[in-house]
Order: sequence, then C-alpha cells, then structure tokens
Amino acid sequence: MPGIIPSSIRSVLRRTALCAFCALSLAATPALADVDEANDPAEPFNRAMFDFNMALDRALLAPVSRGYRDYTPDPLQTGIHNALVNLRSPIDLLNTLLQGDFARAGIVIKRFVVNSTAGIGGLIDVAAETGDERQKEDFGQTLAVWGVDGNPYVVWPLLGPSNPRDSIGAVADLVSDPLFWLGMNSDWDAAEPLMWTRFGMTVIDNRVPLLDPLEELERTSVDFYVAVRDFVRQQRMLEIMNRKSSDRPSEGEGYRFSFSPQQS
Amino acid sequence: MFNPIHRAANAARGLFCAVVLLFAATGNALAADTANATRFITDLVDRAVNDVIGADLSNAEKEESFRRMFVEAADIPGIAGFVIGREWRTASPEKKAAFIDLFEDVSILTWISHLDEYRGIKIEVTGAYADKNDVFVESRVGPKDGQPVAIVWRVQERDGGVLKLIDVVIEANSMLINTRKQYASVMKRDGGLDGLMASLSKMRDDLRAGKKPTAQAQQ
Repeated sequence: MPGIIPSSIRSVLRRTALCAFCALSLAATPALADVDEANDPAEPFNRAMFDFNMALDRALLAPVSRGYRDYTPDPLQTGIHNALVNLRSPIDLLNTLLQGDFARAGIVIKRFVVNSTAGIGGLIDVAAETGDERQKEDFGQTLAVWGVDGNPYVVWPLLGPSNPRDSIGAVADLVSDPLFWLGMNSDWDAAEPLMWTRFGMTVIDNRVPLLDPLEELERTSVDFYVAVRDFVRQQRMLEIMNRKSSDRPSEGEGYRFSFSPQQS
Repeated sequence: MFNPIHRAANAARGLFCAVVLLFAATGNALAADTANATRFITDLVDRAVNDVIGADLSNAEKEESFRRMFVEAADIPGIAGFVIGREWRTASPEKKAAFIDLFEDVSILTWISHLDEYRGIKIEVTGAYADKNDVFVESRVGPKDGQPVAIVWRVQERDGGVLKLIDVVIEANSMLINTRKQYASVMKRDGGLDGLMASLSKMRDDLRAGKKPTAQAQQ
C-alpha cells in the first residue's frame, strides 16, 4: 500500500520494527512442556542464524557492551537503565491491563509517576526502594497469558532467539509505544536521533547483564546452540509467569522435576 | 582438607543444629533435613573456596583436590544416567563406566580451567526448602564485580543418611536439564552415545591442552 503511508515514514517504520525486535532479541519462548522436546523444526536455519548472530556479537555488540560496562561509571549505567525502563512504562501498562492484572497496572502507573518526578525523569528507581518493583510486560507475554503457545523456536538474523508469538508481540509493542509515534510525527529535528539513541542504548543495556553468563555457557557447553535455546526458553517462562529467578517453583514444575538415582 | 578435627567440629555443629531444629517445635518434619543439606552445601562451598580456589597449590594438585571433593559430594553415576536419558538403559556396563569417567573429567576440567575467575567469589546461603526426596538450598553467589547470581543446590539423601548433590540451578536454569538437552542434540546428530563420547573426548583433550573447546563447532 505505497500510497497510504508516506515513504519516509515507511522507512522509519521498517527500521524501527528492527529495533523492537533487537530490544527483545535476547528473550523468548516459554513452556518446558517436555524435557526431551526440542520444538525446533527449523533447526538447520536457526543454527545458521545463531552462528551469524554470534559472529556479529563477538565482532561488535559484545566488545561495545563490555567497554560500556567496564569504562562508564556504574551510577551512569544504572541511571540509563532506569530511564530506559521508565520510558517503556506505557507498554508495561498496556499489557498488564490486557492481561487483566489491574493490581500490577496500578504499580506501573505509580512507578511511572514517582520515578518521573522524584526519580528525576526516571534516572533513579525511587519506587523500587519502597517495594514497587518493575513489572516487565510485553505483548508476547500477553499472548502467552491468553493461551498462545511459544513454539516453535525461531532465530532471526540480527534479532536473535524468538518464536512466532513473540515476533508478533514485538511488532505490537513497537506500534503501541506512544514515544514511537511521537518521534515520528515530531517536527523537532532531534526526535529521530533521540529515537535511535534510545534504541542503541536499549540493545547495549540488554546485552551487559548477559556478558558473563553467555561466555560461561559457551565455555561449559558441548552444544552452545542448544544450551542457549534452553536458557532463553526458561528465562522467557519466568517472565510470562511474572517470576524472579530466585522464586520457588511449585513441586513438579521448573527445576523441581522428579529425579531418582539410576542404577548403573 | 580432610582434617578430622574440622570434620568432627562440623559434625557436632550439624548435630547441634538438627537437635535445635527438632526442638524448635516448627511442626516441620523436614526441617532437620533442610538444615543438614544447608550445612552440606555450605561446607562444600567453603572447601571449594578455601581448599581449591584460594589454596596455594599447583594446577594439578587443585584438579586432584577438586576431583576428590566432586566425586564425594555429587552423585555422578546418577547424574550421568539422567543426562543420557533413554540410551542409558541399553548401554553396556563397560560403556556406562567409560561415560561416567569421561563425564567426570569434562565436568572437572571445565570448572578447573577457569579457576582464577572464581577468586574472591562470595556466596551467601539465603534459604532452603524440601520436597519428599530433595532439599533445595538457595544461595546468592557474587562474582568479584557484578550482580550476584541466584544458585540453587539440589541435594538428595541416600542410604545411611549420605547427602549427594544432584543438580545446580543457575538463575532458575537446571544444569541437569540443560546438559541433558545438549547431549540429546549431539547424540541425535553424531550417532548416539558413541558420537557424544567422541565429542566429549575431544572437549576433554582441548581443555587439558588449555584450548577453548571446539566440540560445539561441528554440526
């Protein structure tokens, strides 16, 4: 429909669609349905994409993220992280509402108000100090709550591990972000550079906490691709269930599967 | 490392803990088990930190110390059977024994080859809870710099009250499951248990030679 959307907007849309995917790139998929179920019919393609992404990561994203982590002051990193999280509040809010979780929607609103004011434009997470922690939500999680399955596994070039549900979710997150429309419709010259800065910082901010764990996983695994696939799915499951990694799963769930010693 | 006085003192402390917990009228029959498992893990980590990581030993001596500790604390044959899955039942006793040796070597070498990174590591046990058969000891492990990681140690009691470590859960990720999935994939690709063992042998050689493992590169 070339006539409906002006081409300049279309190109921004296309590029920004890429951003949203990237921002999500290191999260995906739930459901540890069966321990031995790979749910990865496109594995040869996915492996090729995984290798490509890792090569790019090693050449560019990881060194940049490491530099950022090691050579910028910690308070600055924390401030940037908090500000990025604060800017995502509309998406968190929309999705808590779509999930019918009004209690958590209230927390999102409270956090946004408190952190944007007392927290100096979101730089300080004042709300977390009083117990209102971030409610990280996205449309992929909403779809999961609505019963959409997170299989099969897909690895997109540049964008990383995902699945059909979360890929659709990422597009929905992009178009439901008021800042995206604000940036596109603004006459202000700085709007687009700011949008790109936010995108770049989001990618780096997401990569930093994974620098050590991913390196460790690569070093200790005999099949890095499968190790990452499993890791990513587990993390995504925690997000969907609104759990922290330190929360206790119920019996028979998560890492509390049954294990009885084998006779050898 | 196996100082008898140290061990006796630990045992006494464990007994004391158990007795205290029994009389604490918590109404929880598993409380004593939880306390024992917690002590088992605390002791294990203390030994790893003081007798291996921070000890003034050669690399070979460290490997030996760690191996003794690992073999004593973990149910390696049980873990080996679990990570192989279905093929384990049909494998010959010789093959099982060979795999257990290989698995033990690779586990130890991957850990020992980056020992320096664990220097100054801090661990804090934050809680524990029990199922019918298992105790999950919860901890936060902090690297020199950076955020602490949530690690859960899964412990099972065996005949005679012997405790065995069977799983390490990192950020809610069971290493037992993760390893089983990796092995399933390698076995499917490289022709069953023999193929997996070939990959692991190569990994072991690379680790011994101080090279980065390359087993994962082949597809």
